[in-house]
Amino acid sequence: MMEVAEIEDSFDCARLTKASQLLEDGNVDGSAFALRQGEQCLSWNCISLLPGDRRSQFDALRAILAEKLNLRRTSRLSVVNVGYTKKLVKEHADTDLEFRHMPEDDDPTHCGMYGLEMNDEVVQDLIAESVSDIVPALS
Amino acid sequence: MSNSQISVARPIGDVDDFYLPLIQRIAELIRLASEDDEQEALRAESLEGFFRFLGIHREHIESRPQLVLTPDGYLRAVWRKGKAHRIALRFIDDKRVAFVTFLPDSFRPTQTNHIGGESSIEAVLDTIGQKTF
Repeated sequence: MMEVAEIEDSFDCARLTKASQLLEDGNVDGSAFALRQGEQCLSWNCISLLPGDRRSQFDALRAILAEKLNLRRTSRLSVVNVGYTKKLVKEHADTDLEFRHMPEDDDPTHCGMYGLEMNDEVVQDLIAESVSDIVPALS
Repeated sequence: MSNSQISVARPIGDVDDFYLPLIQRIAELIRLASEDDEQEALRAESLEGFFRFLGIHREHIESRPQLVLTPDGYLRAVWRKGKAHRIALRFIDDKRVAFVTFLPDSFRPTQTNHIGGESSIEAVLDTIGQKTF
């Protein structure tokens, strides 16, 4: 059984983002953070749980995701700071988000974001505005 | 040709510098969806709603929106000038839109109001209090 870590506010998390949910100016749209029918939480990866500097962390995450998903050249990783995203969404939409570490056998960094509701597009767009970095999902 | 096809075809027939990049982007979104098993295809009624919106409100739209496809296949048009200035319309069908606005407060311009809701396509500019986009 993999150890479950606390996802601290100082941690950064990344979410795989499809090209169809990227704005043409390079920013990410809130629709990248929409729950689909039947989903209880949104999948993220906590890059702060990976060793090394930020570049090494991205490389390690890309390797993890490439093993479990069909990554495309056009896909991106949208990065947020957990504390900033929670604060922004709480302040402007009175919604409490929670990041829970949910490690999987092939993905020790997997997290779930809870507190989001279906079609809450204000919250989704606030999450999009909290994104601090957007990097290619393939190196 | 059905009524819905006719209403979508009309503005496409009148292609200009405003419409052409939008049509190209829609074609790109359709292609991206076709290559992705987890992405729902663009819903015809959402596309029809977008062109109905343009047909009704074109004279009030000063800048071309950025278009995205939501995971469940809705077209979403976004006018974004920064973190504190965003208008987004998701075309639910040919009659309704879901909107999000992040806009400065008219009395306290340093404060941003974050509002979401639904409207008819016809009334959406009045609903969100914008004369132009």
